[in-house]
Formats: sequence, C-alpha cells, structure tokens
Amino acid sequence: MRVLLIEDDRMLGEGLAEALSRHGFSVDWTRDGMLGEEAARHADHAAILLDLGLPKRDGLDILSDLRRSGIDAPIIILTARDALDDRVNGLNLGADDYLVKPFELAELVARIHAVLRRKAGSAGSRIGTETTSLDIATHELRHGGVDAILSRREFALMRALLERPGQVLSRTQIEESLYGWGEEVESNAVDVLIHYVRRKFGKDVIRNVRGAGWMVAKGR
Amino acid sequence: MSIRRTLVAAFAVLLTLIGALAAIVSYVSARNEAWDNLDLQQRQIARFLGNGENIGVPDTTLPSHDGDEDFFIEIAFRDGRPLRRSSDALVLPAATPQGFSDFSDASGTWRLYTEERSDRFVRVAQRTAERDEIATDSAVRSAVPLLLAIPLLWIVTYLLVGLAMRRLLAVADAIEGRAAADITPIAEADVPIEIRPLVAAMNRAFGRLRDAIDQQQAFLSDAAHELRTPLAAISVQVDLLRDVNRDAELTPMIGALAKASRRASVIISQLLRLARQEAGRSVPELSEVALEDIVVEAVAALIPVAEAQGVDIGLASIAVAPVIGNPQDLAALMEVVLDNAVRYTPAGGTVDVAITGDAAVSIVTVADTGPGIAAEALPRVFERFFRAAGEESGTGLGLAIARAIADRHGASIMLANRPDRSGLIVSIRFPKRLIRA
Repeated sequence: MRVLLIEDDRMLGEGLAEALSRHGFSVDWTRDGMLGEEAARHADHAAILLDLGLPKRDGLDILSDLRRSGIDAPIIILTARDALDDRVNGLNLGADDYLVKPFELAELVARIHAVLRRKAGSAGSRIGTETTSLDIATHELRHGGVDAILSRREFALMRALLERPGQVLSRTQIEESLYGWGEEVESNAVDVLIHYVRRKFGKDVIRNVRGAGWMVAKGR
Repeated sequence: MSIRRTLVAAFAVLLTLIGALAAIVSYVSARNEAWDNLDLQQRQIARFLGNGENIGVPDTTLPSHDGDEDFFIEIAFRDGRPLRRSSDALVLPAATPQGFSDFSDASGTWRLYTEERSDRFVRVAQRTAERDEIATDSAVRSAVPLLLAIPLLWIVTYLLVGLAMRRLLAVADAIEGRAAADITPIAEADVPIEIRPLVAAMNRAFGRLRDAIDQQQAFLSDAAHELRTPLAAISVQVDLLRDVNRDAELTPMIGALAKASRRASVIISQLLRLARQEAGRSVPELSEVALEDIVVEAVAALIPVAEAQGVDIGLASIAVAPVIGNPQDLAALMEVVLDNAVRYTPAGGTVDVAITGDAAVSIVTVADTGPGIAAEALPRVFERFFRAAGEESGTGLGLAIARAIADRHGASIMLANRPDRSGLIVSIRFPKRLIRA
C-alpha cells in the first residue's frame, strides 16, 4: 500500500519511512511542501501523512489546496502544534486525523489503518473504538479477539455505550436507552445485561465507574 | 504616613490655629466693646441727670444699694457740698477732671466720669472689678462658640477626607481583587483624575511586564515545539530498534530508552500546557460547564490505568456543579489531580472523588490512600519542577498546571494530608461569583 510522507525533518522522515515499510507500506517521502503537493497530485496514494511546519509551503495551505483540487486520499496531520484551535483548524480543512508529535509508531500505524478502513466504507456501519466495536447493521460486537452477535437488549446497551466511548452512563441513562416510555423496568435489568455481555467478551468490555455508572474505555 | 492621616492632621492643626486666633480676636474685641458700652452708659447717666434739680425722686426714697453692682452717682457744688448722692458708702476725691478718670480707695479701683456744669459737678462712678466682670462675661460668651467649633471641625475634616479617600480605596480594592496572573491595564476612565498619572504609570509597567512574559512564553512554546520533532524521531527509532532487536541483552536497555523518551514527551507537553495557561491569553470563550460531567469523564479515562495498577477509583458523591470556565482546561486540571492520586496510591488502595456544592461554591475533593506529602514539602508542591523526595515518575509540572488553571478560573486548590496520614486530600473550590469573564 502506497503512502505519501511529507516531513522536512530528516531524522524523523528516515525513521518513519523505514518503520512504515516494515509495517507493509511503500513510502514516498518528500521533505518539501511544493514537491509533496506535486507528488500527491500525480501519484495515487492510499494515504498522505502531512507535517504542518514545512519550509516553503505551510502544511495547512497544502491541505486545503489538495482538497480543493479533488484529491480525496485520507490525510493524517503530523504536527508539533497541539493547541485545540490548530486541531480544529486542521480537521475543518479536510484532514482525516490529527496526530501530535511525538507519537508512538504503533499509534500511527493504527490510525493509518483506521482512516483506510473508514475510506473503504467498511467502517460505515461500525461504531466504537479500536479494541471494541459494534456493527450497527449485523449487531455483531468485536472485542478482544471475540466476535459475537448480540441480543436486542444487549445491542441497545452496547450501542448506547459505544456511541461515545469514554463517556460514563448512569443506571438511569442506560435504562432510558433500553426501555420505552411506560415500560416496566426490573431493578436489576442493567446488571443482568452487563453480566451477560461480560460473560461473552471478558470483564473489561464494560468498565464500571464506581459511583457514576458504566462505560466502554476510549481506545488508546 | 498615609495621605488620609496627613490631610486630617494638617487640617486639624490649621483649623485649630484659625479657631484659636478667631476666639482670641473676638474675646479682645468683645471685651473692648463691652468696656466702651459701659463708658457710654456712665456718660449718658451723667448727662441725663443734668444739674440734678427737678428729679422726682427724693433722696430718702433711693433704694438702699449694695455697692457692688450699681453705679455710684453724686451731684455736688463746686465747693464740695453734695446736692444729691446715691449712697454714703463712697467718698469721691475732691476735684476730678472733666471726662473719664480712675481712682482708688480702700474698697478697690473705680472708674469715674465727671460732667462739669456752671456751678456743680455731676459724677458717676463704677467699680472697675464690676466692669471687668461684665466685659469678661461678654468676651467669653463670644469666644466660647468658636472654641467649641474646633473639635467639631476636626470630625468634619476626618469624615470629608475619608469620603474623598474612599474613591482611592475603590481603585485599590479593584487592583487587589484581581486574579494573580491578571496584568491587563486598569481602566483609567474610572479613576479619580489625581491618581490617573499613577495608574497610567502602573499600566505602562504592566505592559512591559506583559511583553516580557509574552516573549518568555513564546520562547518556551517555540522551544517545546522545536523539541517535539526530534523527540518523535527518537521515539520512532526506538520502536524500529525494538523491532529489529534479536539480542535479549539489549531488550532492557531499549525499554529504558523508550521510557525516557516517553517521559521527555510528557514533560514537553506539560511545559506547553503550562506556558499556555500562564500566558493567560488564547482563552477560548468561557461558558457554563457541568463540572460533574468533566469530573466523571476524567475518572472514566483513568480507569484502565487504575485497574492495571490495582487501584479502585470511583465517585463517592455527585452533585450538580455548574461553573463558568473552559471545558478543556477544566478537564486538564482534573486529569492532573486524578493522575497524581492514582499514581501515588499503592495497589489495593482507593481513590475517592466527591463533587459537592451549594449556591455559593462547587467543591471537588479527591482523596487517595497513598503516602501523602511530607509536611515540609507541602508548601512547595505547586512550584514548577518541584518533586517530593524519592519521587521520580512525575514531571514536577502537574500541580503547577493545575494551579495555573485554577487561578484562571478563580478557583482555589488545596492539598492536605489526612489527619491520620492515611492519604492525601486535594480539594478544589470554585466560587460561583468570582469568575473573570
């Protein structure tokens, strides 16, 4: 799979090119914004990794130009800038993801795979995180190497939890998402459901937040 | 010495001098006037009596008089034979000049008016002591009110100066009430014109300070950014090294290298965060934030770490706690505090988070079962790069960041060991009013 790396720092660029090729990517590396833009226009890359602080042309300008000229390869910004405004700005200009330096190689590889999956549409019906995801169409939950179809109530529970990973839902909030108005709720219904899901996928699929409720951990 | 005291003292001395002078002048002039009036009376009596004839009062019916109070009146022929006299108690000197004169006898000094007629003298005498008494009475009556007014003027001066000073104090209070890092200019329009130059000078000093801080922040931020790219390179190279390594002897060294490079990145991130907080600008707009949601989310984010470490983290109580603030900053604050609590709590320990509050204040308390902080280290924990003895894992920046964020939200953050040294309690108080918009 061919990816384009636009990064002016020689040491980081070399390291990334080497490391990514070890992960099965073929890497086109350029240290120059202008050349990078040229390369993006003339070759078909599966993904583009873009540094923002480039000589000659700012990364954000390149980003908006590429998007304007119809290049739709997923773009991941690699940058030293971590202010919220920079991040929002980058995503608004059409980046698919935003990774702040320094990062772990494994994280970068995971993010590349994620944007590729999303691009391919296979992520279209899946919600959740890298470790825990739910297929909305087939009601299939994947966690820790286990794939299994969920019952209706289990699916409703996991969907509520996976819509925003890391967010804690209280018992009342979960009950509201499980039952319609006026439906009788058994007092231990939530506990029973969680017990079933954990029996299939392991205890850490749903985390208990003492005093607050339950959540699915945000992927790292 | 304060301006107020100087003014009050100066005015008090001045007003006392003026008052005393006025009292003296009015005493003297009132006394002279009384004296003149008495002279006038004496002469009028003498003139009115004429030559003493045809006065319808027989001398036998004259009221017996007590010589202290009255005038002594005598009408006598030139040869000294008295025609008429008001009392026998006094013997006037034989010949006295026309007009006023003084004489003394055994009973004291007298003031005498002599009116010379063709064949007789009309003479009116009055005791000098008597006249003195009347004149002094009158003089005192006119001077006393002035003397009484002096302390009254002191009080009025004190109050007036206080009233004027209150406007200065209002300015001082406004400056006093600012957040620690607030060096925005003071609005000169609201300030009394007399201290505007002072306020303007302060604003210029603030401006220079701001420039200096800006430069320092910019340098810190640039330096941190510049360090990030080489750090990323190191991290990638370490990952590569781990991939290609087939030598078991190298594995722990590579692990140490990876750990060190991760630590360096955490320090850099925290430095940037601190620089941003202390710069106090680039504040995304403040809004009403549900603090309880932020706290719960921060607790949730730490659960995987806490579980891996065998620490039970959870909420002991939740209350609705709306505060005005910036959600990202507040989340960073909670992250620092909770991360510390989990980090220093040994396996099997507990971290209890509680959100409480009333109409005036929202309080987040984080209580752990860690070792606490040595009493001598407590006052220094908010210093940058300060780490308690024997502590190696942290960056020494977390609490500095927490404090900077708390300051900007008008919140206070306090660390205390549990009384029985069974852990540390961090409490963060958000007053609901004191938030700078």
